Amino acid sequence: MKRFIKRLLKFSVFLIILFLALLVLYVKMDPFKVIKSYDSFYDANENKNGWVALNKDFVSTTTFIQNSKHTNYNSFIFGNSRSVFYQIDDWKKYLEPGSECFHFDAGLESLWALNKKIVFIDKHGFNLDNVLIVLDHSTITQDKPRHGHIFITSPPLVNYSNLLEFHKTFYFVFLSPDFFYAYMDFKQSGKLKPYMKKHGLITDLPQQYDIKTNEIRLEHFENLIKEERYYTPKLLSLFYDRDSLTQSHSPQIILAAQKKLFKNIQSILQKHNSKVKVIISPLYDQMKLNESDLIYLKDTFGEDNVFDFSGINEFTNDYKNYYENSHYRPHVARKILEIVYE
Amino acid sequence: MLFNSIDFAIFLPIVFVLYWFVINKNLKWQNAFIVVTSYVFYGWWDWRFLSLITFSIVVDYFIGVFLGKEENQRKRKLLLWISICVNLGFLGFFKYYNFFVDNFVAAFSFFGMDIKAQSLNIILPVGISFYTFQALSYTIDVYKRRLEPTKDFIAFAAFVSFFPQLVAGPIERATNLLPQFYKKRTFDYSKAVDGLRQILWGLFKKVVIADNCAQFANQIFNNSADMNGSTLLLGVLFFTFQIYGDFSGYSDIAIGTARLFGFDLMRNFNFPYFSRDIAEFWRRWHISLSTWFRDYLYIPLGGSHGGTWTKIRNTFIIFIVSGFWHGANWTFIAWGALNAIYFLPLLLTNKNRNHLGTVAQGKLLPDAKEFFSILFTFGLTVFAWIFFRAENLGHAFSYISGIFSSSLFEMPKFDRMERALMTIILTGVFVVIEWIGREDQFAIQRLGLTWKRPVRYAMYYAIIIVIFLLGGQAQQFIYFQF
Repeated sequence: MKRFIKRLLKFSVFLIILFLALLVLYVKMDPFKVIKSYDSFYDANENKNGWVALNKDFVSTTTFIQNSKHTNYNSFIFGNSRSVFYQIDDWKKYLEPGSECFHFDAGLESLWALNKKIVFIDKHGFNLDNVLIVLDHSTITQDKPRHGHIFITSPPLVNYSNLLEFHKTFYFVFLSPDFFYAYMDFKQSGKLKPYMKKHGLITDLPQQYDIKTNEIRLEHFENLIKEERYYTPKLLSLFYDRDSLTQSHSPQIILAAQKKLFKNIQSILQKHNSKVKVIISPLYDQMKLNESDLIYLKDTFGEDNVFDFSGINEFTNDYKNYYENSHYRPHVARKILEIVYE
Repeated sequence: MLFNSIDFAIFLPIVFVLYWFVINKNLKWQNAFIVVTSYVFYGWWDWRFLSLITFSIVVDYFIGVFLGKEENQRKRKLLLWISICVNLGFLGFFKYYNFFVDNFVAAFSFFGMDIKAQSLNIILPVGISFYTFQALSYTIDVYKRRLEPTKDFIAFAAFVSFFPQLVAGPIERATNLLPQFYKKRTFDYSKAVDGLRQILWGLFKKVVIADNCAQFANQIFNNSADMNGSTLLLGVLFFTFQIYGDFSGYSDIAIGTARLFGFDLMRNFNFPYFSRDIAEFWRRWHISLSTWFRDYLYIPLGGSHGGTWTKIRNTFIIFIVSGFWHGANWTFIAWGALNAIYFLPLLLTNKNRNHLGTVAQGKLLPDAKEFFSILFTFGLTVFAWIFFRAENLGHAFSYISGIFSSSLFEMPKFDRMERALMTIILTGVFVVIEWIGREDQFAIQRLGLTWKRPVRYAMYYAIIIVIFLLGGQAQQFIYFQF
């Protein structure tokens, strides 16, 4: 037995040293900004040559915790990356003066995490006076936490109970040969080479970030569109053909699990006497939200508070309302806000 | 708890140290410790279902005790039927209730009758098909007087709940495993080292082969309507290696883990994709289940004795039941029936036992006849997996018609082709290693044993590094759902 343990330890020494050395390197470099604390996750100076894509859920939640020490937020925008283009300046026009807004979005946001965020805000004693919930098929269908992806839910939302799983996921992405090589090369050379952008983990996309509202703006894209340099043949090929004459409907997606989550969200918002608006995004696929789902949302949040822009309509017909086949542009969001608050 | 999780990587060394260093003096305590750790292992997933295992243990233990005392044949039969009803009752309720309700309603509505029956939102307890069959085999063996009933409740509880094979087999026989709980286990160095090697190879199969193949099999099967023929063919090939890597990988980890604790579990896979006919494939694939059905269903039905029609009937029964065991879906029944159709010609022409040994034994490569036999059998198996993986029969048939279309000769097209190419290369290397080690219990059992230690260690390090760096996104073990 002693021989076995001794041999096993001897065998493991190399692996343990290798594992620990890489772990130390990972902690020191913190490429995904999930270990050390940062004044701002998106520092323009630091990012001028490029940066590693971050878990927006973690960024939003951590920024909220940091900022909430000195800012008494009472107005929130929730949703996935499509909600990014609902800009705080546009929204503020429809709110009471002095409203403190926070854009509490996450990449690939799920209904599960959206509920967690509202619970989290409520638990930490903040008011939810104004709430804008931007939904679509992808958000509604996800009723469980996601694992194994670096854009997963942040640990603060679930009381750090997933801390080990959370950090394991990031560490293993750091160890993946594609990322490790590209990241080390990027750090060494200080240059972002084309091959490094391949998996979308390292990017040099210019963006503006407002640390107070957690808002990201992609003015670079808008400038390119103005200069008519944005819709290149390569980009246009992303806009697949649709049957814009026959309206198709999504299957019913609000099932028992979703109803439980929506009910919880609604009860918290009701407690806060929130002015809530629920927007169903106008997606390029032109798939109309199922009628029974829409009825359920209207029953839950109020007939006048739910606005369905899915399906074939003025927004979805024109590809120029989109950056690609997934995200619509700020002017669409602005127009939607006008309709919602008119 | 998943074998390929950090939880298990922490759990296993703790249990190992406590087992051999703290409670190694007393056999009863050691068995009790196995029961406790097995309950922790299972309860990690959902502690509520521990009550089911406990109930199964208590019922089968006492039925065994009564069967040992009872001489009246009618009463003995009654006891046996109680055990069968309890075990299959659980299985029937949790696994098949909704299937029967839905089909019952559909059948009546076909004749214009509207039947009101509610299907239920039932969670399928992990491993229920495995431990109920294991417990059942004990009662049947005691009933048939092939086994003395145990008087040691703790040993019996440890036998039913033994954590390495609790949730996905191998489905052990009481005649093999139960006596191992009666004897004091002594640590065997070479057995433990062999066990570690088998765990390593099992992890490679699961994490590198199965999880990588799974990403593409899922992508292609879930979007099969938009894929061309060559992509669909590639999709089912990915699934073929996914299911083998997943399930045989689990079995390897289970057997290896059991060896660390001084137990020998039965072999569950014997390089099935190198089979020369379907009969050989079924002697090499999921051996613990095939032999279970052979001993407790096929032989009691008369086996291959009797007339042609009896043989045909028994073959269809065993394959269809085996298919249905995998899940409450017509696709599994079709998969079973298809395998029966493959098997029958061999049985009826008495060629089903032609290939009992290892292919190309002692040789580096198979001869041309063997090679084409392997290729043909592999092709039949791959075709049958379409039914196994499809969502429903309609999906299976549309998938097949998609393969056999003119687009079969187009280039495959799906997301992340570069990663898929890496997966194909890894799978190719894997097949070669499996071929080299086909005469052993698992592929790397003797690989490198004659090499110098640093070289051998380098090979193990390489496997570990590949597992860490090239492993696919973690997936559940497929057989958990069965």
